[in-house]
Amino acid sequence: MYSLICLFALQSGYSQGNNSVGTTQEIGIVDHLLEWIQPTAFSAQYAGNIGFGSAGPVWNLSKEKLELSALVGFLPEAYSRTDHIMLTLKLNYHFKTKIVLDEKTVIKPFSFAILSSRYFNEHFNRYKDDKKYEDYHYRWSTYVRYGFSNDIYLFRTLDNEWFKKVGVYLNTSIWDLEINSLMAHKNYKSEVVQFKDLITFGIGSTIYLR
Amino acid sequence: MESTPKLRPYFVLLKSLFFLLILSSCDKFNYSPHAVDVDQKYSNINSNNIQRLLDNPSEGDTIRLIVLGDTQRFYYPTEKLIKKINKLPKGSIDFVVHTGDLVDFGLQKEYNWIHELLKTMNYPYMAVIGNHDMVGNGKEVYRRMYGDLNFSFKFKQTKFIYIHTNSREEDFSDMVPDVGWLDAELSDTANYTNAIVVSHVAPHHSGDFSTQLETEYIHTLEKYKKTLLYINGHNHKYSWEDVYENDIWFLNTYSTSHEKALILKIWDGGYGFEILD
Repeated sequence: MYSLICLFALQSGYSQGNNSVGTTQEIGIVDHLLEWIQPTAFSAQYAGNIGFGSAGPVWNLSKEKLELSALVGFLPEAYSRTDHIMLTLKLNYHFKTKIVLDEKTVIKPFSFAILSSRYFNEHFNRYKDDKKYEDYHYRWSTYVRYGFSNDIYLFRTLDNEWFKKVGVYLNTSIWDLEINSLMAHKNYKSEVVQFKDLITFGIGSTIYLR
Repeated sequence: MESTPKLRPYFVLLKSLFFLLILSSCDKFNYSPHAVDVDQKYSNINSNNIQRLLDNPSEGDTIRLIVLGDTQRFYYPTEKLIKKINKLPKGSIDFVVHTGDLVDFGLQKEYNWIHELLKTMNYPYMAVIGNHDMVGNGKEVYRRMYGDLNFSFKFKQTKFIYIHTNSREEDFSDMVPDVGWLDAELSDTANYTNAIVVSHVAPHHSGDFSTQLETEYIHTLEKYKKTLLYINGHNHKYSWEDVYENDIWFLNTYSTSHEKALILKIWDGGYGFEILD
């Protein structure tokens, strides 16, 4: 959502720039910025701890290796106190390793990511600057979660006017509070809290624009 | 490193999609760390355990309890404590009182872990809701796994009243604690001899218990002269004191991080306890 607002603001600025006397250099900078903020792909995911379903734009930050995704997820009331949305920023690094299946199809087994999900619901609290709680009452917040993930991608190059390639992926992630639960008080020695319990899966697809 | 194994591409593609389809039906596809997703076999834990207790009462009038609480994120220490509890002579305990804060972050996975652990005790346990149990979607997880936030049951002429007192987590609502409900439970004096009231936050835990309701709450505890003992958690350390000097004694149990609990014996009009160390 924040990304869309930024995009809108920059586009407004661009229009105003065109109407004014603006120099070629100024327009060049705006062009460059617009090019930079234009998504290079769109992604949609099922599960993976970022909503029942989530979708959003993806930006290529560096040589199709480093990517930033902004995924808006939805969690229905059946799985929460009320329906609510969350925004996840995901920074992926695609490693070179690949298995070539044919000239158009490859598997890329390693795409590591760090994730941060912000929850938009009154039941999720920062426990800071709040009338009910003194600062850091609970030492953590329920309104933002951090995670680490790996995506195993299957890419297929497309002969299409609009789309360059499509990828389907299996997302495997682990999340901060659960990692903390495993590590604190030697809980990793416990019979009930095991590393495998921390792992969550998601499946998704990314389509790359020309 | 690149490798180009000779694989039939569409066969692999199909296998991958099939693999993803199979995976999507397993329970590892979670929607949020804070999502509420209660397995049917984990529902109504308190009422099922009360039924288990009432179906197999011990002989005699004396009631023997284990009092433990604040298990939040102390899985390994709790596991060691449970080993001590399970070494007690068979039949020497009727049930276990959990004084709340089952979990730390209010997560479904935490609730599953702690129940998996607590159900290994040789005795049924009944848990009151704590403030940590409520954070995020925790209150909803508790409700769907354990049942009502306020509940009571009678065992051998003693009435056990579990009450939700986590006022801060409810924005200091006039309904938490529900003093009217407590009054109604205690007023039924013809049907019980002693009352034991169990909560997580005690009325003297200022800041977490509603100061507006504190006087009325204490007055209700005194009113029917049947409150034998008040059991609570929250402080993580043992204390036993007549806080308001009105002969209502507050027993605060250890958090399980100490690997300690209390063994409480209740008889007609009296009680005694020792530390299980």
